[in-house]
Amino acid sequence: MMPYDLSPLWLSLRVATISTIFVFFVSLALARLMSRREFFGKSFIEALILLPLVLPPTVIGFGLIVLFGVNGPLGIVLEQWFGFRVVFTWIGAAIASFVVSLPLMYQSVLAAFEKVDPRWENVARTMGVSEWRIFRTITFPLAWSGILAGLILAFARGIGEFGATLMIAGYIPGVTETVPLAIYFAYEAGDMEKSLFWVLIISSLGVAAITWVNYWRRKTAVRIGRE
Amino acid sequence: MLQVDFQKQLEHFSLETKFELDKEILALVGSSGSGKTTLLNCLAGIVHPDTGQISLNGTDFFNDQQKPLKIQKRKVGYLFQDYALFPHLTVEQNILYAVPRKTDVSHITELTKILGITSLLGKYPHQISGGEKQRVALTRSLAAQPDILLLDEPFSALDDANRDRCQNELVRIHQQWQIPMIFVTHRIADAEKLADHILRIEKGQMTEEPVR
Amino acid sequence: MKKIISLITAALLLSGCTSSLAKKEELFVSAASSLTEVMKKMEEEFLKVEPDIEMTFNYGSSSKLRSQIEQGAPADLFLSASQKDMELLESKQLINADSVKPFAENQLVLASVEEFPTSADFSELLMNLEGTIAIGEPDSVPLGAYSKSALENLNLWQLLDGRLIYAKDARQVVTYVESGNAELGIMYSSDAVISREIAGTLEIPGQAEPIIYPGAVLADSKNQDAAKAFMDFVTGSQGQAILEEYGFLSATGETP
Repeated sequence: MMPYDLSPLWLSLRVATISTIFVFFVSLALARLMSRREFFGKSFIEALILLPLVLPPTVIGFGLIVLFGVNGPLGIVLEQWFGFRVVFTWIGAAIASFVVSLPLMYQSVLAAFEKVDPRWENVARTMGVSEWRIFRTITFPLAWSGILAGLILAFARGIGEFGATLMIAGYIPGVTETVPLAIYFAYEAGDMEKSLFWVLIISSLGVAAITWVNYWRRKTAVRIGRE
Repeated sequence: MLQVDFQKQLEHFSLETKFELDKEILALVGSSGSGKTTLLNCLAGIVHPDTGQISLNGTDFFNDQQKPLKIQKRKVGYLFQDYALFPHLTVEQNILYAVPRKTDVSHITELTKILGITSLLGKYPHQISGGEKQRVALTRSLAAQPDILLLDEPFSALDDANRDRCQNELVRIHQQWQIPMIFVTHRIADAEKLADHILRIEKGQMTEEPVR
Repeated sequence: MKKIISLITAALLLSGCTSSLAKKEELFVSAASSLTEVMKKMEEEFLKVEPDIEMTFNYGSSSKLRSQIEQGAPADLFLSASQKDMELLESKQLINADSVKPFAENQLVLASVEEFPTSADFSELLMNLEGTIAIGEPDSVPLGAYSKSALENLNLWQLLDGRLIYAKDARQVVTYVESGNAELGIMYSSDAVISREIAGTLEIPGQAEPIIYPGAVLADSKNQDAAKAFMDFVTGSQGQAILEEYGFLSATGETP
């Protein structure tokens, strides 16, 4: 059964994948910085990272339009220096996904890092091992189960992003039409069947993600205790 | 030669230490919470004193004039109280963690033989017993050929037979390696059996006790 | 704290007073989003004649308003940008059939914040553009449906696939163009006329017939008289003059 054009699904997967890749590296760097260093304005920066969790999506969308719009400061820079546009493109959708899923991932990574006993890192330091190698071979592998759970949640959140995406990426069928947008506009046009089709697809993705994360948490909670 | 003379404010009292140690074994005794582990951590560089100085063989670890020497540069072997073996690495990977590839590992091979852990090399920490963990952790702390060895309650998790054996091995290793060793213990008997000097710490204040 | 409490009490008392003293009739009007600006003026003038009526407007795409009415949203008067939506409500007997009356006409233009060269050709402008073109969403916004059929008549619809950004109502097309985030937009000429930012407009060839705005009183309305009064005002000479001032064409008086 293939009643509808599946391009919204592929677009959503692409947008969420690319946003999750960036979220992965940025949240690792941020969580590392925030858990190890004390500096002026730290709690302010942390609040800024977490803000999208509590802000309405329209505020995020508004902020992104102001920054990345054709006449926005970052929009002008990106267009003149790199020749690409953010508004009304899938890149805009990816940026919206990035902003809303970063705080989820950041919290997961922070919690995962905190579970790693600092004595493992300290014992490695006394052995003369560099910080970067300690991070790669001790901290990261031991935090991996929490990081992976965060990745899945960030990915699912990225796929589900709607409000900010509609504002920054707009609705161009086949170009910026992600699954949530397809649901909204099919409903607006009174096409309940098409809405339902996409609702079922995205709900099963969400259920699968949450089920898996719960399973993974239970499984890894038993195995990685202290020694 | 280890020279230690520093002060550090703890939650309820100030830790004040002053001692020198040559290539000998020093035992730190005292009730728990008296600052013994903090002293080891200051030597290793995990925490820093408020004021004073620490130096080993002429290298300043800490003094009031400059930034403390990084942990990585101190060449300290440190055996943590519950060993802190890396849970995701095998015994062999734990021991060789900081040993560069293509280095001569004959001294490590010898250690594994002395300590009787050759058969454990492929196992993970959760698959071996407490006494075995202790010997693996000891081997690991010696693998990078440290200039000083710090041991925090090294015998507390061992039964009597294992304790005797480990203590004898430690003495043998000390004779062979000729480096200063400091171990923390709450059992005065262990201290009297092994140490050349015994320091008692109570609420941060230090007194020397006679040996035997 | 005391101040705040007394303020709240005062506010409560005041609101109680107004509702009990002035027996104002409340009139809910659901109006197409393209009527947003003109209705502000219309309300202002109408209230000079009928000061005892309090008006509340709900703007949106006509199809959305129509489906809101179908689902029981409170409304006394429906001012639609499409006859199709009005007919749908009529077939469900949700409006008074005898009150349906066209009150304005509109047409489509291509608009931009920059002026078009005098020799500009509609099809060439669209095909040579590198940016995006804003139109109304074709299935849920009447403006979009009109735009789509005009582009289909010109055989441009297929060619522009992937470059059309769909707006949720007519006003959003204007916003997209004014902000510069879309280079061109197909909008109502009335919207282009009242916009300060839009400098270039071009009439769109291939429009089959003028776009007619019908209005009607809802069958469920509890304010039939007030609704009828406002409808009469809009279709009367004063209302028609205001509509023309805001870029609409007056209804030609055809019977619906």
